[in-house]
Amino acid sequence: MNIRKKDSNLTTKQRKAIISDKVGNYENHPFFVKKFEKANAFLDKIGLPDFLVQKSSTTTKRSTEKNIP
Amino acid sequence: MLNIPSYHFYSTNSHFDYEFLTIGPNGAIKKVARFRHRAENVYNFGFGDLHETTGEISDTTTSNNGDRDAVLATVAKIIYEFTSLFTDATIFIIGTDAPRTRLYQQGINKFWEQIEPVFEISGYKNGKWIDFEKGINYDAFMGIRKNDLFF
Repeated sequence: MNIRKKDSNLTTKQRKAIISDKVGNYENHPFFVKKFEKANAFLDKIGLPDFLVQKSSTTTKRSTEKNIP
Repeated sequence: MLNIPSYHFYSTNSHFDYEFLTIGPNGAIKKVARFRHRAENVYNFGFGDLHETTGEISDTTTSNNGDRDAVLATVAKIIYEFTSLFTDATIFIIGTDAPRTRLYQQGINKFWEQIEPVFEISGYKNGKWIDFEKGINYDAFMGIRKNDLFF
């Protein structure tokens, strides 16, 4: 019978990510590059929801990745 | 939000890359998730299983670790955290294939009572974006935090 050690790795208390320099940078990983190219093609074809189009006309462009302490 | 069991999750200082380790009958499987800025305040989101030996990431295999709800809850918390930091972000999600899109939908359905107060969710169906409703199958999803709900 398999016994799962699920409880020791699960939590209901964590609200924020644990910052770790061991987490990989997957920005250029082929999986995500391909996935997001496909997603972008889909969005380019169908467009954005109306509420977002209206909102984007009044908000400033947000910068891309930056370190947040 | 989401006071249900989820995995500990880790991120970089940029908060664009995330990892968490799932444990089940099939052993330990590392999941990786990423946000990618598209244009304006729209960010694509995706996640998959990292094969640590090869470095490959896949989201078309079923890990069958018996922890789907915990995985979905962890993904939801990751998205919640990201949108707490990038408060104007709109998150776009589409699965690699229909079953994967259905998985995302199942997650939204399952936790809808906790998601709905915090996020505006739209689903794409029949050629247009409409407000998300449980019980309807969509081809893609887009979500944004509701105003004045950041904590």
